[in-house]
Amino acid sequence: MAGAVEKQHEALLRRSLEAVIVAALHPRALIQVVVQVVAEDGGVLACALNAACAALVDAGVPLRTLCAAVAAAQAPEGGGLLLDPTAAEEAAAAATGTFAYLPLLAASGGSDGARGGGDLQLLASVTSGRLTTDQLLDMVEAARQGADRMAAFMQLAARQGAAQT
Amino acid sequence: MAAVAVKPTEPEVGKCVCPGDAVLALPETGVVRIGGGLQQEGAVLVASKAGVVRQAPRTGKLWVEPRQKRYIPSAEDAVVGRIIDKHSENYGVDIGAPFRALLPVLAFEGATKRNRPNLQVGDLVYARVESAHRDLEPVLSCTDAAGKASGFAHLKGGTVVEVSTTHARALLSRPPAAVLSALGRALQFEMAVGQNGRVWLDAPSPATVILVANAIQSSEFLSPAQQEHLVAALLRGSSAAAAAAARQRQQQQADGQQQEQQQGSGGDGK
Repeated sequence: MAGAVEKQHEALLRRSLEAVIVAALHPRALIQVVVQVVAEDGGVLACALNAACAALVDAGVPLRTLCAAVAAAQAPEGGGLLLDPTAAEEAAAAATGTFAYLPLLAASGGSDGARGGGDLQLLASVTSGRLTTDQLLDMVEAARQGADRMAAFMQLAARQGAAQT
Repeated sequence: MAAVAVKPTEPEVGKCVCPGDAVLALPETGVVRIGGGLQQEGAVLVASKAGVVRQAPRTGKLWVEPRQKRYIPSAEDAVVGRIIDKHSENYGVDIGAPFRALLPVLAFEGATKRNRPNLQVGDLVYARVESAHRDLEPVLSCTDAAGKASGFAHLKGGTVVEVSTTHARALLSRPPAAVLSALGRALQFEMAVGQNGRVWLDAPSPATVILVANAIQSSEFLSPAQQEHLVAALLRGSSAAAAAAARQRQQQQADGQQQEQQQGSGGDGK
């Protein structure tokens, strides 16, 4: 629905999905993504992005890779960093952020790195509130670890969905 | 914990992949044929859809088979289409793809400018996708590459049911899917399966058509044994099966009489 916040969410979703969909394979076609919030308790934008990605995989739209998004919040007064905050925690937070990561294969040889060779690249981020630089970097790193697990889960789900023959 | 580290040098056929998975590390030299669902990212072949890696037996072409309902046309597919438009040179055909397909009026066996096929808006056709370039509208043809009809034609009567494209491909496979063999043993019906996820059915009685349609649509995720059970359950006590059995008995009696006559006269049988 048209509100300023929804427009901002829509812009982020659109830019993130445009980066992931291989649009060149469908030159004159329209791919329309409709996201309907049924119930929410914080972290709506991250959830919407994950859901949109899962829907595109289910529809058979060609994607370069999956997109895993994580929401984070910085609790006030030195309370610490929260991942996947509830609505109450988001409202009380000093700053919130949503980060979208792409699990990409390591670019060139020597792929067997510490984490098993996969590489997570930051695709998009939206933050609001007041943060020190260190807090922001901590938030980005924590979101990255969360996205790591999120991506693994999404990949597992996609493969198992495909296996249902 | 995240993406797969290994870049396989041999394609792992039969493996389930999701977008972003490495399917094959491309060798330095040589030819690798790829079909749908795969993208080249530098020196690696990456899956762009969630599905099972398959390899075509004759050409060695690698592709990913996804479970999707939307049909993306590709050349040499057989599809069931409905005519939505009639122009002087082409028919406009709806094949469930993002674009309307064109069926040239002359793309029928024995058609000339004087001798046009008599198709109206709303008719069903079983056609072959002749070309499906992504920048152009797909072009159909009701003949095979040699110009013969070969089963492609106007489908008269009957009804169309929709299934996913993966299930349609399963229905077209050889040996036939368990559900089809089980139905074929008990009932008489005509069927045309389009790779666009549409199946045309026709039978002497509506009850048979409905039974076959139900069986086909319900059997998508079932194993062969489960498909046999499904068909047996549907046939039990259904009027269509009883009518078909009665017809079979009559046919056998008629055949028996015919055989006696032929043995007496020594003519050739049919």
